[in-house]
Amino acid sequence: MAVDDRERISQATRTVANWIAESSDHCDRLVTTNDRGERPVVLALEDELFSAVAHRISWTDGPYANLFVLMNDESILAGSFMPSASALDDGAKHEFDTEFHRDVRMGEIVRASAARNDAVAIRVTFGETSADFASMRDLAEAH
Amino acid sequence: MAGRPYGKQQRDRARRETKAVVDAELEAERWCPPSQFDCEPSNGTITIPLSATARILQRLEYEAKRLVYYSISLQCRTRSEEWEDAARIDCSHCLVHIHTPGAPNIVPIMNITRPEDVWNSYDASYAQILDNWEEYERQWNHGR
Repeated sequence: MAVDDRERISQATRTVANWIAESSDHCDRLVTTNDRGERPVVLALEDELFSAVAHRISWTDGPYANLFVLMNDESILAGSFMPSASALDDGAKHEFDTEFHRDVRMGEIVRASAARNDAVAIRVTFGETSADFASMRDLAEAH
Repeated sequence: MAGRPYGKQQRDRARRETKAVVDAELEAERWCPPSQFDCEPSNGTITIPLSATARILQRLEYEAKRLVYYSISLQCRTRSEEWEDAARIDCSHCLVHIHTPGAPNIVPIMNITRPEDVWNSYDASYAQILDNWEEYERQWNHGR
């Protein structure tokens, strides 16, 4: 990852941390927890590949994440990431808005989920990794 | 010749007594972050992975939706896959302070005398851990 990208993620991490600390209402919006009851938070860039972000998420004990995507216009969108195996019951019938069977940039996932509110709407499958994304919401709208 | 009503020793004693009364009143009025057990049910623990072996872990406590206590740790993963604090900033004991690897004593950052101090110190505390995490991890590894 380029130094500039690391710096952008670092700055966005501070922005998100401040947003979470600002009010318990914001903290309550971190709905994704791992097996330890922790709430993992992962930052990503709009132009990052899903595979790179999935690698970072694999560092969490899960891997689950409350995912925040820094867009190129500096807005930040929030959503949830969960491995596919845990997202659906065996018997569940779930239709996805979009399914990607290749490596995609995070911006594509964000745009594909923009129309959905709560449901797990996007599935990305790349190699051994298959993940589901709940819809992304603008952090500014979450106040 | 009648002496002055107060000699130097008496004046010093009176000054000390007055100062003790004022200090006691200030202490009584001083706001302190509550124990985490007195806060609203915790929203849990928030983690931010930094690498495969390091993460930030923070505990936030709120009263009336407002931040009243925080701790922000840089944690490193041990060989037995457990997480261990390498450095931590928290606001226990009415004092924002940092615990760093290998240092026997805490280093004070600022006193907390009112609730706003918790929120006002949060960003700088977070930045200190985030900006120095690789150095703290190196010190933690060196000390093991």
